[in-house]
Amino acid sequence: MDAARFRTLLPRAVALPGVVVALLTGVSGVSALVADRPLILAPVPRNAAEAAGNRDAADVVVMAASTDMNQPAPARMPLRLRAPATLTPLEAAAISERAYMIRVVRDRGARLDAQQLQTLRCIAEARKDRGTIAYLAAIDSSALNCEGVRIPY
Amino acid sequence: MFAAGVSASVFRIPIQVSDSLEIIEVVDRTPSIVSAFTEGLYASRTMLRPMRQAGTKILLEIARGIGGRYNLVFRGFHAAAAALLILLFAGVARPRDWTGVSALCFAMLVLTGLHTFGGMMREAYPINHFLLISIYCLAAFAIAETRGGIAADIAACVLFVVASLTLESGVLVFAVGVAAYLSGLRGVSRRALVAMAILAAGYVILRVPVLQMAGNSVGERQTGFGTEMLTTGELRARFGATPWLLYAYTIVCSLLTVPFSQPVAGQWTAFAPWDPNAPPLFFLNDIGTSAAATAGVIWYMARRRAPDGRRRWLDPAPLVMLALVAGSALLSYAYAKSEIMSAAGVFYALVVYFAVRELTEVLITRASRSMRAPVLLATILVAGAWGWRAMGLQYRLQRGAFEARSEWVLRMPPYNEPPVPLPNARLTPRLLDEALHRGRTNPYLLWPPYARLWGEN
Repeated sequence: MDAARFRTLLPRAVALPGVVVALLTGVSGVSALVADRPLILAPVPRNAAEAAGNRDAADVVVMAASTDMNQPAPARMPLRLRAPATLTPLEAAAISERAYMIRVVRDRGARLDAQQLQTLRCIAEARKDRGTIAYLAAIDSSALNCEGVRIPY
Repeated sequence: MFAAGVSASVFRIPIQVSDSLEIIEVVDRTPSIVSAFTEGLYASRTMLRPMRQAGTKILLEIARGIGGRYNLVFRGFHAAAAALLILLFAGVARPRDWTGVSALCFAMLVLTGLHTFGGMMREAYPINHFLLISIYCLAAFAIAETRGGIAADIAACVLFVVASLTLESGVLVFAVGVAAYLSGLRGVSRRALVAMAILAAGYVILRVPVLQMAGNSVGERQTGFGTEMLTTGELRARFGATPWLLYAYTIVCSLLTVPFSQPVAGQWTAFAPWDPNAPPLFFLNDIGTSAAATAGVIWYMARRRAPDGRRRWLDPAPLVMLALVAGSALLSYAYAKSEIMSAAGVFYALVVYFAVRELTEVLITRASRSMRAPVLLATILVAGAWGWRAMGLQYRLQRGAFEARSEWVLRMPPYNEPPVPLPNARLTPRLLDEALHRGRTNPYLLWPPYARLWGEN
């Protein structure tokens, strides 16, 4: 590489990552300010099940006002599931392995009947999630039989 | 663009429940800015920060004046302060040519990618006083670089008073003035430094004999030791009889955290037990990039200036950086916290700017033919790795917005006791409503490995 080319390329190599980051974050920032929607690193839940499955208590509260909290919906949960699954908000909350999310979803109108409770307990058992197992055991401590119970993922 | 990117993400974070809601409610009940200031004088046994209360009162009044838009005003102020810091940084760096502009692009990655910068952006309190102190230190440095005069002296003294009544770290403005003077800058004159010294003495008199305040002692806040984060109870049990040991450890760790990104808050997180969910790449990137930048800084500070042969470390920016690293580390004696080192981190990035600018010029003229390609490759590698760290700030800010918004549900009834009992909380319902309907984002929906490469699970 000759000296003239090196003189041109070196400052560009120093600056290039900074320029890329500035453009990415700057444009995304302007989009966030103008449309309340950043372009990078800020995904948003599409439904209550997705919110419940991704520990999003605030979105569960906001969505509950206009959503049937017992309705299954396709939910992405990258931390817990390899592929999206069709889940009720309660099922998603159990899969999130955050027992408080089950409480939030119930407080916002989700019905926890005997069949649903058995499904949630079986989900928690399958995931060996001690926090959720203990939370659900406080509601129903009877012996658990998961034979024939459909795990929804 | 950097300022827009950072401040937009800062703006999306709602007013936080923790560390913010209580002070907002308390200050809201004070009748005036003066009474809010007075309330701040007596708010704590160890912290003298009345400007925090006064500033909160001013923002509350503005928010009320425009129809109760509290998030707009508080978060707008924080975002504007973040933008101001970045613009001030660029102004102090003053690139003169394209080499300087390239070095500034690199230094911006260091500034925003350092872990000490994240806390200034993510936390609220509800006014981020660490961010304000960094701005005051940069402003004092900018004043020192001017030709001086009575207006500059008065401005420097006012900055010192405001800074020291905002946060204990505000006394670092005095350190900036002294270091700048010793390095040869005369924008802040000797008489202004004498005035600042008298004001500093007045500050001590106000703290100790007048307000009967004490310094922090062992176990007032959690801090790291070795690979652990110790609770206040554990600290008292382990260091109650030998506090000097903890103090010495914490000061040394604080000295190391800016140039090496480890330990973080006194905790050697990179050497904690192996966790298969947290690949070491994150730590390798943080430590490796910091080591590379610090090597450049050391190389630069050891060089001599051509005209007078003086070592570069005696130049204004390096000397102020050294003063701030040492001063901030001393102030951290009782507990380590990345935010306390944030002003030092800003000046570290400034010295990185000067070092990269000079290194680029030296390499352009001296790199041999066979070395040019490897130098280019190494440059892209190091700058790219710093770019990844800077993107991590954006991730953390989005996560901060998510957590702050979630707090408004999970730290409130029926899930928890609210910070202020609801019958006494005049603003909480409005703030709750505002928080829930802004800044929707959920970092858990990102494909996990990205987050893990920024050190989160």
